[in-house]
Amino acid sequence: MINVRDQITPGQLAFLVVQTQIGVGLLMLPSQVHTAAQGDAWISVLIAGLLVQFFIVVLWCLGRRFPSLTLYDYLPALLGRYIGKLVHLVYAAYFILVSSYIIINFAKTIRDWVLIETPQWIVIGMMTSVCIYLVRESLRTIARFFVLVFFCNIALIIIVSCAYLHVNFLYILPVGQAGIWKITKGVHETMAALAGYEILLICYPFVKGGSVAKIKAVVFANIFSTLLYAFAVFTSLIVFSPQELKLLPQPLLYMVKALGFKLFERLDLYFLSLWMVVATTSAIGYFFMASKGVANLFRQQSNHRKAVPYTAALVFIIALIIQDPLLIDTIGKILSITGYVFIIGIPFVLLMISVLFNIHEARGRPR
Amino acid sequence: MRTGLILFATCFLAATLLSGCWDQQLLKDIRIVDASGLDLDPEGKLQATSSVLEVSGSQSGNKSLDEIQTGKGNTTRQLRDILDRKISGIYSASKLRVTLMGEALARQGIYPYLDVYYRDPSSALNARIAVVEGTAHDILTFKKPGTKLVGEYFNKLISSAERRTIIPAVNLQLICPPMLDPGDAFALPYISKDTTSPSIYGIALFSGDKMTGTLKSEDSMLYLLMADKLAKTASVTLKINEEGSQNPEKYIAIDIQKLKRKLKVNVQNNRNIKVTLDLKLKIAVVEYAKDHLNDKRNLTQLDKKLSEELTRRAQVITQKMLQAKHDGFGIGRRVMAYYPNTWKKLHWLEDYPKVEFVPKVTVKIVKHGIMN
Repeated sequence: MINVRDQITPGQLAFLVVQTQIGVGLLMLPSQVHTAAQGDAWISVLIAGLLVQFFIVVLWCLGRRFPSLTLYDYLPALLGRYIGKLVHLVYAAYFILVSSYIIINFAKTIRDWVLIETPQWIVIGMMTSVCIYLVRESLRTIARFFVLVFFCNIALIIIVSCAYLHVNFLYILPVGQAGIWKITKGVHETMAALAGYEILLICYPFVKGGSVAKIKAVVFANIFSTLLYAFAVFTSLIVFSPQELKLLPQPLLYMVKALGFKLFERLDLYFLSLWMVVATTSAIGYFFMASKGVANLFRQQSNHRKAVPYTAALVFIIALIIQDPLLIDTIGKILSITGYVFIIGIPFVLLMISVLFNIHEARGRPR
Repeated sequence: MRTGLILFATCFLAATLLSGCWDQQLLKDIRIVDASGLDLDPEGKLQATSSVLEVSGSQSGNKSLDEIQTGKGNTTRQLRDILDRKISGIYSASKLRVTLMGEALARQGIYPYLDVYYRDPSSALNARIAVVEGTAHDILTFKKPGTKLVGEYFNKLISSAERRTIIPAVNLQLICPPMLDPGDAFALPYISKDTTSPSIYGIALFSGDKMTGTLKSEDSMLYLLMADKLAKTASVTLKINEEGSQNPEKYIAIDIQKLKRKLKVNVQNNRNIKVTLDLKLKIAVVEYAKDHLNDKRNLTQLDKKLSEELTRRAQVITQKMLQAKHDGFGIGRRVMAYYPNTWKKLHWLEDYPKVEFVPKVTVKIVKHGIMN
């Protein structure tokens, strides 16, 4: 049923999840969480990571009941034909919108920092074409590429570490200054950045091996992403005073911009070049989920490749239309709230239905 | 296969034809500014003085030239436009090395004038920044010794003083967090105009973004030691004896080898803030005409005398800091971190001068060169 060429190992699944999680959020996250949780932002990130682990378990339980089917395949079996189709459609739309949102933010950051004069459609177009190029391939190829570019993350960590030359740990004291309510708000801000693990809903059947190996892979992936985010937020907190952090939308870039060594200056440009790759993989992850959804909308269990051009066209057009910074903000807020519905709400309902009515997969078919 | 080929061709063409077309900045079109000065004139207008480089790719020797341009306006960014009209090429501050501020401007507050540096993505945030006595225009147009470029000259002048722990190692970005933080403050190099050349006078103390005082170079060194910021070397000459057959015998020159600082903030009765600053210095004697540094009694006596002298100086410095409302050791930050409830009740700008400093310097001679 699943093409052998599409199968990936649990290890590759881990990289797939990490790369989908870490994306444009990396740059924006520190200031967003700081606005909500102030000096305790790093605690918010860690709590959010912990919360995501529970969500992952829910997704995994759902996937385990249908070991060779994707979300799109078992939706009709659980919700009935019409509602199933409708939810399917909404999911595909959600993934398309997230892809666009990633690309918009990517283009915006590039415009603000490097290519000031370059028209937006060029940057958006280039990003989209890179996505098309890779998503047209099998899942295995995508996963292998993700493994390859994982090392960009390590390089990013090294660059950010340079900022530890000038830090003031007093900025995070006293721990717990913000209070529980503000920390909770910070958790909410972080959840959107940590999103990406929902790729498990789509990829579960493509992974070789037992279900335990799969959840291990995803849990480890999430631990890595959480720690990387926590590191980024923590570093921003101790480099900038709280008053300055409020003024900076992308503190990570800003802090490395000021660093200069004998041999090279403007570390932010190196950082951006690496981050571009990381952001692209995140977009590719969502692109894959969207294409799969669009393809399955028309024919059950069809390959995602055929749907790629149509999905890409939609993503490109949406990204072009949404240019107003306030609108982008609003969409970001909407996505972070609806994210709960799509990532945990619906899967949880599906799991309940599946358990209560004892619907699970038997010999490749939902029963 | 065919679609792949088309895609490849498109990408290839796009990459070669489109890369950087809009955002390229050719060196032949721009004029690099390596030093700029900002002043307030008596009427309150802003005056900018920039040293603009002439990068000529000519074969006839590496003769780099710079010219000084000035203009008057209201904001830093506006002045860029004004100067842009005066020079041949596009004004580019992306390789700025040094920004100098006139004292009058520094006392008014510097943040509004620096905003464009923090906002522009291509600006050089690692440019050094200093305050000058009088106006920056005078210093920049001063006939400098040697043939160095203006920006390079001031950059070297400042960086060598940084190595000797006379001034803090700061740049545009490093001063920003303390500038905006209510519980912290920064100090900038202070350059004065000698008769023959510009020289480092010491540091300018800031409170918020306004300059409020100065410390001369010997004091600024001790200030930096108290702030736990020993750079490569630090040396100072102190008067230690009243008697002596010749004048140099009254003095001792020491080199600070190792520094251990303990800073403790105590809040009593929820209001009185007491700061104990314990400074342990290990020093080398580099000049002492009276000699006999192998004698143990002599050494302990010297240690004691030096400790007393430096403690006295430290007290003077902390007094000056309080007068200038300059919270250079980040006392406010510490109160915020360890006594958050007290902090909420304080109005730091008014309460800071009431802080009680108890500095104590302990000196130990560990080296005395290759002679006793």
